[in-house]
Amino acid sequence: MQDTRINFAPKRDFYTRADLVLILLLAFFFGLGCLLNRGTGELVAVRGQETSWQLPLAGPEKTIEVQGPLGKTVVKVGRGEAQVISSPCPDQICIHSGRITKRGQGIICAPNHVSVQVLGKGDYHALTH
Amino acid sequence: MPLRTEKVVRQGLFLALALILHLVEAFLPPLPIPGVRLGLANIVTLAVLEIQGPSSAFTLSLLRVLLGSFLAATFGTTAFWLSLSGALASFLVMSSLSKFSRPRFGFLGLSVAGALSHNLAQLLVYSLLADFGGFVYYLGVLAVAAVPTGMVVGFLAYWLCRAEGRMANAGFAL
Repeated sequence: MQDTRINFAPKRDFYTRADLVLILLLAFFFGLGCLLNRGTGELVAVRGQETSWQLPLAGPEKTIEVQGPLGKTVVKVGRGEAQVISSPCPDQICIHSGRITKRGQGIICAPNHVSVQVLGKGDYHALTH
Repeated sequence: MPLRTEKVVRQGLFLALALILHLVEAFLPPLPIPGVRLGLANIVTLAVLEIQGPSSAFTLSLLRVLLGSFLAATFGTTAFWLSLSGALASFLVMSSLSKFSRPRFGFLGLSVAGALSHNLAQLLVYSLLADFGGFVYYLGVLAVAAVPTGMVVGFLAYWLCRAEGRMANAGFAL
């Protein structure tokens, strides 16, 4: 008797050579990203909906209240680190981000339109807008 | 040709599965890197893309994000726009890669590419919303974060496809 069943097993392999190439490419980009982030952090840029601040990373500790659409986001900057202490946003991703200390690191609170970023030498052009 | 009813039932089952994974992920604590997510619901999108094709996968991911936002009461909020952008971006990339790319990608590559585009789209939306200037600095982190999450998701999608294939071969029309 002839078997008329069709095989429903997946036609695609779990991995192919192209997959491995893709992963190697991503690892390469990661290395490139590490190169970009070299250097020490100097300034902390805090951006709110209306106002922005620039504070020295290594300066004395300061607390900033940033007004956003949901309320006040409190950011602590100084002594070599920056951190969001309290935020009115529902997801609290900015609080979970913890302390940032190195150049290129950042904290984003999208719901309250606040961002914090550590800048190094040569990053200042990012501040002009 | 599968019957129409059969197709509706299949779609419903896959949508239910995607919704459960979507909600499970919403309850997990957020990862500390903005834009990076596990993307559990992507398992179902990828599996449906393989089993039923791009149009079903598109409907599924759109409905999943919509219904998921109703269930978690996040419709219209930032979280909603983030998951919508992530879901659409990863669907677009995975479906076009699975259809057009030569040499062929496997489940692993498709899902890593999907995870990457998901992360990128979310970071882009984040940056636009919060006026964040550090986009370039995150690209490297995002690229490498997509590999482990993509591996897990790709493996589970392969496993889901195999399980579905075995059931179909045994005569159960899931």
